[in-house]
Amino acid sequence: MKIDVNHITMIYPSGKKALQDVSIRAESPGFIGILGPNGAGKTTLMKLLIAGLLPTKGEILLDEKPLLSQEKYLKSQLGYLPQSFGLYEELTVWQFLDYMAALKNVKSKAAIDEVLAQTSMTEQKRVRIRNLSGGQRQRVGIAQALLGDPQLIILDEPTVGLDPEERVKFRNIFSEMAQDKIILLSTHIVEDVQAVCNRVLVIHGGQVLFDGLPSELIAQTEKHVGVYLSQPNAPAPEGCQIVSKIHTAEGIRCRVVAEQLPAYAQSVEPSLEDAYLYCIHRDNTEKGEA
Amino acid sequence: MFSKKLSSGKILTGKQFPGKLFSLYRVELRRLLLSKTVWIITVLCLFAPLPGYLLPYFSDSRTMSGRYIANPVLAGTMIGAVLWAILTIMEADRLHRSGVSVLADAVASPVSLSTARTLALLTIAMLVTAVTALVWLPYTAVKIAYLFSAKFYCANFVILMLPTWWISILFADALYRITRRVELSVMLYVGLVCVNIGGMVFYDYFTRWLSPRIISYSDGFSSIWPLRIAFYTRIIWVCLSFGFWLISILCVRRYQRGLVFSFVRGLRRISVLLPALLLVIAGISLWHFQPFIDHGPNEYVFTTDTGNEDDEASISLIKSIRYSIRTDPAFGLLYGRAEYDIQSPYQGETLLAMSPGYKITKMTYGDSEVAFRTVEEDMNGWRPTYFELPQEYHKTLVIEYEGFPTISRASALYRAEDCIDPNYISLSSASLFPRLNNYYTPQKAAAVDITIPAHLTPLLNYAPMSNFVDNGNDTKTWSAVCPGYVMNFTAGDYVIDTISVDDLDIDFVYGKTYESIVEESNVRQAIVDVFTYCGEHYGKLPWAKDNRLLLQQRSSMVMGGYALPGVSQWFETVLSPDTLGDPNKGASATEVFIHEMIHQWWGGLGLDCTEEELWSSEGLTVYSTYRLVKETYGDAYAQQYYVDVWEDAVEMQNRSFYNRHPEYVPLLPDLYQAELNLSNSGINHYNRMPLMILKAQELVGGEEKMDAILRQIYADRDLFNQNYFSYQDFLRYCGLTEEDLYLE
Repeated sequence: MKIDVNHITMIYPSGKKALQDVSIRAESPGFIGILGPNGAGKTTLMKLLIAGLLPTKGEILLDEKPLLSQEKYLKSQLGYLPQSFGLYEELTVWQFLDYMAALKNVKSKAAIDEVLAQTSMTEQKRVRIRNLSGGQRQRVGIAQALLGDPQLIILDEPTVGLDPEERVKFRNIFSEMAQDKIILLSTHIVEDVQAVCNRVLVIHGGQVLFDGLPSELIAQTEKHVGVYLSQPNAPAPEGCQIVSKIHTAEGIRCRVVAEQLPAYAQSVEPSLEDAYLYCIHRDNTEKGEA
Repeated sequence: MFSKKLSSGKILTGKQFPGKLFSLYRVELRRLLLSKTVWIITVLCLFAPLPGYLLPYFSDSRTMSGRYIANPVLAGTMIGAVLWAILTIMEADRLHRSGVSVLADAVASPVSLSTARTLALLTIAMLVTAVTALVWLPYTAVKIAYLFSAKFYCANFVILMLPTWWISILFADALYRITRRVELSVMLYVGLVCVNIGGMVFYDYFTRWLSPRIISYSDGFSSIWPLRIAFYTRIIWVCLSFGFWLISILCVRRYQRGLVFSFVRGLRRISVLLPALLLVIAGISLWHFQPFIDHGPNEYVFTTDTGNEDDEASISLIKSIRYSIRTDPAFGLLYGRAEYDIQSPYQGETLLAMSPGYKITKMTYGDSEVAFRTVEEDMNGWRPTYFELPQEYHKTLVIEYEGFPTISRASALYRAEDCIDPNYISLSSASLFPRLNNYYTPQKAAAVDITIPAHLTPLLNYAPMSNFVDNGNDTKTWSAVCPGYVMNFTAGDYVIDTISVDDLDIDFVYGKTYESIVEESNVRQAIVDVFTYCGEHYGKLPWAKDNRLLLQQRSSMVMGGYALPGVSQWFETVLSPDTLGDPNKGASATEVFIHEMIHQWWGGLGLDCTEEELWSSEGLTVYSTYRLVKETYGDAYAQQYYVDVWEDAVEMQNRSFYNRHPEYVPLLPDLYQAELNLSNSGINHYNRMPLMILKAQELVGGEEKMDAILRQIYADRDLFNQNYFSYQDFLRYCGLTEEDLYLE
């Protein structure tokens, strides 16, 4: 499967500009992590990819054909977990997945059992959804997305509400699935992206700031991450964005990203989170929003 | 084409998408069956017929079948339809409200999903219809006992309830789909209900999508006609609602855009748009070209002017006529052939009047085809056709025609007189044969052959027929000779008993269904009593021994009873077990039966009265009925069910705003003025006038004195043969003035 997003601009009828001239290409196998602050345009991009919105400009191709002419094909190949969703409360987990299986034209009941096992919901399969916890509901959401072995999986904040152990487990599941398909993972948790994605997209203000390997993003942040000791309530140095503050015996150890580190800051090895924040910081600086 | 590999190893291709709709339907059905709301609605629907068993407001029918089948089924139909609409809107909204649509729309077409849900709701409605029918079957069967027919009972649920519930679901679903707002959908649905209520107010069969109109069900004859028209109206509304529903598919919101964008984009779906338009057009066409009721005026126009009258000298002569009529009760059709031996053809265009439901298939004069033109302008029960014959003498005009007999729009309000059903046939002259203007027909000039189902007993011009040929195919062809124009034909599952009272032979004709009731209730004796009472008090009917009187039970398809020379007809419920089994019911149908028989003395036969605003034969007949009832059931009964009823009605009339202020009446719409006039006329004839006669009775010195006066009036009836007996005549006989009988 191959997806080409060509110069997409999306302006909502309200006038809100969500995406500007975005171009992306995704090909299976691929596990793409999408990072960006709230309102960056991540969800809009995902809705465009599931044909839930019509772009104002540009086109999306699925296997080199316009997406809208391939809607049936897309839907048959899609596993989608939106950020917020609802479930039929009166159904059991199994009945709900059976319902979703029918929507996806998955006729094998074994497929339901398979995703129940993958999401550790086998024991709860006869439990009514109204009796599930928040994390269990999220797992049902993930299960329905994985149902039918879809070739394109789009996950919007899938690990929200999961405990750390479950998060790691699902990360691994997604990673395994990415062997032969495209997975798009939108998340705030940079650690998740770092752990499993072989490609990262940074979106900010409706534009793609970075599209490449996580290591490339980190590499371009070299010399732009530093630490220094600071006093309480001291302002951030000019042109710097504080990434973290750790209270130590010597004082407050601040980690900052900046185009030009202050002389007193000691340059350190950047993490993916540093790289992401630097990317956003640099964009804000360029646009004069710092 | 795409392909998909399942974990089971199975490959699905795009060609298998029809199977997807079934899968969606299956899971939607199961999901709905797990919903508490659906079960609540189901239970409410099961009880929806209950008000129909308790309240008589849902159908116009007062027969046993009407009360215990039509009324409950219609109650269930209306209440259930509204409940299903509420459920449909709730379920449609639920997908969005619950947030499941975010997941569902991503992987399935919203149209498929919505279609599957609607199909599931339609299926559940069908199952609930079946269960409702089963739940109420034992009670209904017990209540109407031997009149009960499981086939007819089930037909009501299938023809009335199920399609109406479906129509309601389709409308509600379509409204939600278009508006995507619950409150707006509900408001629009209420608007549709108002359309139905409009149909109920104006007694219109076709606008009543929610509550099919059942004019009446017959217990003893046939109820096919009301079921036929109800079925037809269901087809109309299924077409319209399904078409509307398909149009709403075009409005399914896509790409988070609004109604207009989605609809414009949806118009590309020709596979939906085309059937939708075809269905809407089919519904409108079926409505416009409905074969049951003509397109004549709403009110009767009493006129003999057909626009083709001429001076007597130019009236041409028909030597003899032969009508060959064949009925097809399965489809309610009539095939006719009229042959006129014409001595001299009329010079000019002749008007031919015939039922608007018929089409002339052939017209020849001698060996030549005759050109004719039918004007699509229906009159009261007939449609004009014009033709001109060549001036050739002593030839035969042959007219072949066929069609479905219509009833006139003006009378559709209260009767369905002309119908051809498997167990009952009723045809007036316009539905039997063409009527030719400008041609004089000698008496006894028409030979009639009518082919009907073998099990039916026919009456032609209110007389039993005796000559028939058994065709061997479950039909008989009955023959008679009668006047050429005035004809009335009825055939039913009749029993004909001949009862002798003194020198009069009465042909007592009633439905075979009522045979045991007639026996158990001693109806024959009641007939003898009425004739004896009236004979003693007023004088005998002026018949010789050889003359006969026909007392006929009418089908409930025709409202009320009436009397003609030698004929007294009463409505069907007179013999229903409900009526005859309850002597405390008051001025009931049994007494209407007596009333109609008393008409043999007052009005119609013995003494013709003027039809003034305050005076008609009804007053004397109602008064005499009261006297007979008083003698039979006692003073208290007669006071309660007659005098008190008259007084209440007259008081109500006096208190009416429009009667106290008649200057406002002309400001009312014509329809309300007509209703007011009808109401006043009824009260004057059936309540005020008997009350005035009762007052006259007191003033002249009591019942015996009044009996003597009435006996004298009846004895002098011949004096009024030319000039009808009037109110002034009555006052003169009583020696009273108008002021004497004025009611406070």
